[in-house]
Amino acid sequence: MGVVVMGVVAILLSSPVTLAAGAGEQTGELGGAQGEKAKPQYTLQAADPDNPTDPEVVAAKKKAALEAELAKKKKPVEEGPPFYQKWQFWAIAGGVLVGLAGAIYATTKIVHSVNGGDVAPCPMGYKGCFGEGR
Amino acid sequence: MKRLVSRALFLSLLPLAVASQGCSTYSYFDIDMKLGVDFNIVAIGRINSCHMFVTGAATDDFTLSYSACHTIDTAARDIGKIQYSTLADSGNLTFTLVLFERMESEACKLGTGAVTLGIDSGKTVAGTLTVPTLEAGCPQ
Repeated sequence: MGVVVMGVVAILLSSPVTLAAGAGEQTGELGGAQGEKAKPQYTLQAADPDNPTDPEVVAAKKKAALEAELAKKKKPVEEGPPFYQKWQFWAIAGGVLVGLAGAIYATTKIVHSVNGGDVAPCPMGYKGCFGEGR
Repeated sequence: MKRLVSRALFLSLLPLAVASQGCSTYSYFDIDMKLGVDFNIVAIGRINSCHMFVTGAATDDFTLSYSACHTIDTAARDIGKIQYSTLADSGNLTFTLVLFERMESEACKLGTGAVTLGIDSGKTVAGTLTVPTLEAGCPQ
């Protein structure tokens, strides 16, 4: 008998009517046409400072916005430190210098090699060594 | 950035471009200088100056040092060896050795010997130069 009663209670609790009623109770809203009719009409007691309706105030606000924009435009752009104070400049300059020195060294070595390179040393016991490179 | 890369490429390829222009190598000649049988110990003692003339693919001339020209093996009649280097890579070189008695003049010549050798590019060519006959030398 107890089991039957509990089953009935469970069905009643899970039905949509019961759930809607529960939700209404929780939020305090009124459902249906009856609730809309009961909604009160509010009127503003003071002017909203964010949305002024007075033309003078509107003009003044516009002027202030324009001035602010102008001041923003006139503000000098921050250029940062001069190029020679940046580490990137010195890194690139150093790289170029090292590369240039390497290229010059390699070129002189290659030119020397192309021009015959180093002449062989004079063999021991010879009366002398002559000719090009000597 | 692209310009920088292209410049770097140009600089790195410059040595290769220079290298592609052509390569020179030294070619060597080992000349063993000897005297003919006419040169006895007295004749060898009269030698005062040894002058070498190089003609052909290269032109040159040089005088052997005093000690080199005065330390001749009288028994073997061997003046000794010299080495000559050239950047010429083809052709022949003629080595002419002229021995003088007191001064380097036509009238004081004691002997002349020559040898012609072909250039073997980058290698050493050996040859023997002999001064065969004794000439009159300076007039008394």
